[in-house]
Amino acid sequence: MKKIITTLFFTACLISVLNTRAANTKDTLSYLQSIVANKANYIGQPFSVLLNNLQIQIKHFSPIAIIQEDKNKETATFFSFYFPQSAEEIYLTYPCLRISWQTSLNAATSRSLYKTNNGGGWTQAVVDFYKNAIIKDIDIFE
Amino acid sequence: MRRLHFLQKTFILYLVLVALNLSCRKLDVVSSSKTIPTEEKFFDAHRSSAKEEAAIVNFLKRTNEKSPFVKLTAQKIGFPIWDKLIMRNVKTTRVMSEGGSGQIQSMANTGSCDIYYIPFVRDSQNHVNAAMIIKAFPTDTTIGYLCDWQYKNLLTRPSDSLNVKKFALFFMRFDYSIFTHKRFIVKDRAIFPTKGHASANEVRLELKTDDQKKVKVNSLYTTCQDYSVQYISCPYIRDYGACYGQGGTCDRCDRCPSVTLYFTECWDEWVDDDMGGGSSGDGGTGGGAVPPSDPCSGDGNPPSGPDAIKHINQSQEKVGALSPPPPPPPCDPGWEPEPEPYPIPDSPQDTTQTPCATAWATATKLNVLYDSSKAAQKLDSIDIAHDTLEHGFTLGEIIRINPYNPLDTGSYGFFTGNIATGTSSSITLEFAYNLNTKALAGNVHTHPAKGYSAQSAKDIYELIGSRLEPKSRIQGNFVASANGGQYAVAVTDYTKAQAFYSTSSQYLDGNNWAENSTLGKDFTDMTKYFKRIFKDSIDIDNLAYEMAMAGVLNERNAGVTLYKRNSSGKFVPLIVKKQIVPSSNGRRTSTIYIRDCNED
Repeated sequence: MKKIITTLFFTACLISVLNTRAANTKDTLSYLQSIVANKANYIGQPFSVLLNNLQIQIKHFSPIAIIQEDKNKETATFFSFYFPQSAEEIYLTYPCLRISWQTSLNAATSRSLYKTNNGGGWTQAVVDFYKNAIIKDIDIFE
Repeated sequence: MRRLHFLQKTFILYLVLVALNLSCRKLDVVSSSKTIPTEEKFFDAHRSSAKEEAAIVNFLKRTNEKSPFVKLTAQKIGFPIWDKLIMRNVKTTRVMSEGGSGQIQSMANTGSCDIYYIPFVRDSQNHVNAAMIIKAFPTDTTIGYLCDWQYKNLLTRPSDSLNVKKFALFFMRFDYSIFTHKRFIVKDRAIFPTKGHASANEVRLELKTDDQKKVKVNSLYTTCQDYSVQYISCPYIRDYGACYGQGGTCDRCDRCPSVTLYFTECWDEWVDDDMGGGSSGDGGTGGGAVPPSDPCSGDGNPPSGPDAIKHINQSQEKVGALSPPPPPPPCDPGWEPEPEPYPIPDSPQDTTQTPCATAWATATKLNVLYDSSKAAQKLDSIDIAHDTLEHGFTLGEIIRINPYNPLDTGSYGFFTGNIATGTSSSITLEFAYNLNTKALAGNVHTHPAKGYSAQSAKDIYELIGSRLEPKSRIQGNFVASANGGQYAVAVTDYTKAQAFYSTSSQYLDGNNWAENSTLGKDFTDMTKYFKRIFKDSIDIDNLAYEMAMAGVLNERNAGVTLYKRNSSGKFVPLIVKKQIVPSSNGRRTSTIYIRDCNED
């Protein structure tokens, strides 16, 4: 009897965790959608404005330098709310925000920050690097 | 005790004797298995089931028993290719010359005879050097030979100027029949004189091998052979110097003008045995069971003396060759098959292979192109590591186009074009060569340190565009980057590439994938994934870029494969596949990317 109760208890816990995670993801998505819906408030503003208004904590960043002939121009950055322990956990970083910059940032610096922070960990040094960057556009990657 | 010692000695002696006996036996076996009797090889190799062939072979076996000729014949001209013999039944009203004497002998028989032409090939050669001619009359059978070097006999007689062409064509037809040689280098230009093309110093011949005409009129076979002769002129060009093609000869130099003329020669069968004749067992020159000795062997009757050589030289002077090649040695034929071409690139689509097999097969071709063209040596002259501008050069292919079928093109090697300089982000490469002799096979350009090492999105579309052009022989384009990495891209699925080419307006933005296109988003997603993987690598950006590029090419069915040069100097496919990991243990469905088609 005890065994049955224990099994039921852990099953209930597991279901609860899954539901919470799904709900969190759903919550995150709807929250990010609200930001995108109000992106006019942030476009042309420094990133710090958005950062200060964010109600969820950024945990991970990943610079995007898509220009083939100049890999040191960071044209956009992914900001996620989960820190992946490995590449296999990258899927948990979605949904995330992709923020394009009005003026490209120095990708050499962000690369260095990415590497020194265990592959994109969010630290004060990273905040300092991005806070003054002017936002060109915001969209969501799911 | 003494008795035991004696027994021991005897036993050891017995063992030694047995061992010696066995070892001798083994040697005997090896020795006998290595030697195939000449007669056996002569009569049994290259046989078919034709009755006429069996009759001829039996006749020759009997002749050999009476008067052995096989060993000497094999020594001189090699072995017969029985299954390629030609049989003709002709009327014997004919005119023939005897041996090398040039005396004309007329025969006015009215009966008919069967003539058999049996080609002979030496073990070390890939062309026919002689043909045995057997004439089976109702009352007599004769054996004679035509040897390729005997064409010079005909050169000494101006009245035989047409016959020398037919003589050469007769052998070339056998070469085609046995070895599928269609193209020949005419070494002795006196055979196909270049009177109308005084500056030509290179002559090439191609047989038209389809639709051969054989007309039988009044029991006399007339054979017609269509062929083309290309006369190539390679003058010294001011500001250019000597015109060099492959192997340092003037052949196929792109600055060399060439003229191709088309001919048809017809001959009746009796013309072919111009120098044959003689009864069975007759050892006379050109006739008899043993072939005539060639003039180099010193024991024959040289059919081409100083006069013949003089005639050849005069012919060359008459046509005004700039650098007449020396006449071939008196025992050599005046023509030879062209070297075998490289494999021709696949036509649009090879559907018989798996995508991985195709990718690896293409890798082999790319490595041949890169190595044969000596692209690496050319790159050595560019300071890629420090240069801020792109440099590049084309990769050309030396080709021969079949004058009868422009789609039939053989490849004879690769070369690099001159180095051009572009901007920091682009380069224009021109392929300024004669497209009848050269084809664009690809290009190589550099990527400065500032940019990513592998190909750009624009490079992908440019590759497809050039591959889709009619008659394209593009095999792939290469990039050498400042970090030492080298990459290639090649179309490995023509149909998919064709479809993908039309997406450039959606997916391409300048040199890059359009950031907000679905492909662009996939690319940034994959880059994010691979950055996490290569987070500790010093070259994180380039590694993530190349993997993401490989990923989108595969996932978007671009029909293009990315290759990376490995530490052994070989380009290997870089194929990245998306894999969906199903949800389990509280983990939702996720996506990972794995490398596919790895080297085993």
